[in-house]
Amino acid sequence: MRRAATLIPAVLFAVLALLPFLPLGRDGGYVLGLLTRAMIFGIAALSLDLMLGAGGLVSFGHAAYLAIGAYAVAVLDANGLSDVWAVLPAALAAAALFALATGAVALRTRGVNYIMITLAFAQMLYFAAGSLAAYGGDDGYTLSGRTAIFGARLLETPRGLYAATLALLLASYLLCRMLVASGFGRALRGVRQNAVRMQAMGFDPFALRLAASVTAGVICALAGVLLANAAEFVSPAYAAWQRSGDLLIMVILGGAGSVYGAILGAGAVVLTEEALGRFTEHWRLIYGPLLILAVLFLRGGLAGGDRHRV
Amino acid sequence: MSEPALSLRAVCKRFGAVTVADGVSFDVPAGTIHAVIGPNGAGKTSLINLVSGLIRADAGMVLLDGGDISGLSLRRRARRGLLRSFQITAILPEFTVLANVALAAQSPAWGFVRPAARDAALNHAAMAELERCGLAARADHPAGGLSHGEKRQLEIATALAGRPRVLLLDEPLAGAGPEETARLLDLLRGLRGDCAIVLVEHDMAAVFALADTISVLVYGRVIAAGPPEAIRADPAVRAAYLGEDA
Repeated sequence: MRRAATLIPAVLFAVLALLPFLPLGRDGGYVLGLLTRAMIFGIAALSLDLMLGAGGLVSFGHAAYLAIGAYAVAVLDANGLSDVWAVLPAALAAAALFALATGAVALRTRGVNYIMITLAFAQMLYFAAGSLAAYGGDDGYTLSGRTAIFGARLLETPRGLYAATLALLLASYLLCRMLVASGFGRALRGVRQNAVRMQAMGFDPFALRLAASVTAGVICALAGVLLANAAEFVSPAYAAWQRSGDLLIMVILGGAGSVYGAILGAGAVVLTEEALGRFTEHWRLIYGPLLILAVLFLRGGLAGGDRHRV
Repeated sequence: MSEPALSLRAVCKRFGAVTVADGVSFDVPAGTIHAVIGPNGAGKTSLINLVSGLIRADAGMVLLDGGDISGLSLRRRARRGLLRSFQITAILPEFTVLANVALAAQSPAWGFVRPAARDAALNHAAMAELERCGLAARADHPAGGLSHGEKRQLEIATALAGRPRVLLLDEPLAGAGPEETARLLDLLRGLRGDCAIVLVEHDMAAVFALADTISVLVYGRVIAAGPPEAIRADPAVRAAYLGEDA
């Protein structure tokens, strides 16, 4: 079982790395754009799996961090700053602060209350973003250009953005895998199974969960920065609860707790939506039953219940 | 030097109209076993919960090596070496047996980089406790698949891996078969001297064979305390609890 955990991601990343070199013809830009989007959601889903799969924290407000990353790009763009040295620190610091502040409150609750309170915090952000008249309010904000990398405009081509996204997806994946297997990850997985037992061993469940929330928020903000760049547009919809729900579906469909399953889940959701959307505008009528079938028959998700046991 | 490892001073706890601890006091010197016995509903498990910090006492003090720990949480008491097992087995079912114990050895530290499962020092320490508790052969099994008696052994191994100063055992023999009981008794006997042990147990033969001192608890109140011979002879205890088989 653990062999699959090495093999599947290795094959996946190899294919993603070779794809831009294939003769894709006239559709090249479209294919790369679509896969870039899938990979961006892969990063977001990876971060949510750290909370949900490892920590057992069903956050229904994870899209907030997509919006934080995206609005960091927009706000700095409006003030004439669009280089990665300004954008990344701003986005990650804002996400860490938001995760720390909301986590300190939300993590005092469990179960349904935790779901509701994370949803509430994300909705607060959604409405706050809608009231930012300087950045387009509800209509959103169109960027003047993509983020430069230390002066170089490497992200302007589909291939450049694809390469940057793939590199960050790989980095996020390796980081999450390292974290889940580390002493921190093992303690976090222990807390998910039995928090009282962990306290009786001397662990602090609250601190472990807060550390997981902050880490996940920061990684997801990275996805938000990429999402803003991919669309060259930012709107409050990035923080909408439907988006948080999509992220949960990606993690659960992929197989919570398996790390690489989150990437599979994100890919499956983005590509299925796109394929069905081309076929009919009522694609949700097909998408819904497909999801139900997947939950019924894919126990443990696409990664097949591949979880750490040690 | 003469400080007992664990002292209870007039510990009281009420849940509404029910008094589960009514001025309970006793001392457990280092290296001795103190048993708490009493009929069902006497407040034995509540007492373990009070001492371990899972619930807080309304009044009275709990002292660890002479220091007041009454205000500390379960986690902070655990960090000071006051470790416990649970009556309703509390293990981490998805993890292997070895990982359960290694995690206790790891506590309270957490690193972010090195894979915990390959930490030789932790695994070595965990394996030593599993051997002591007779579970070494099951090290790589998922803990959730163990038999009931094996889970009890795992509970004790987990507590031991935390290097206890004081070990609180809540009915470690409950539900164990005769063979498992014999093995657990050997284990507990072997632990005497390593740490102070507070034992809540229903198996009277085991209690009288193991304990250095015994407190008899009835409705949250200690009605008798002393060495096993004195308890066995005490008329009040015979009337309240031991009945005809004493």
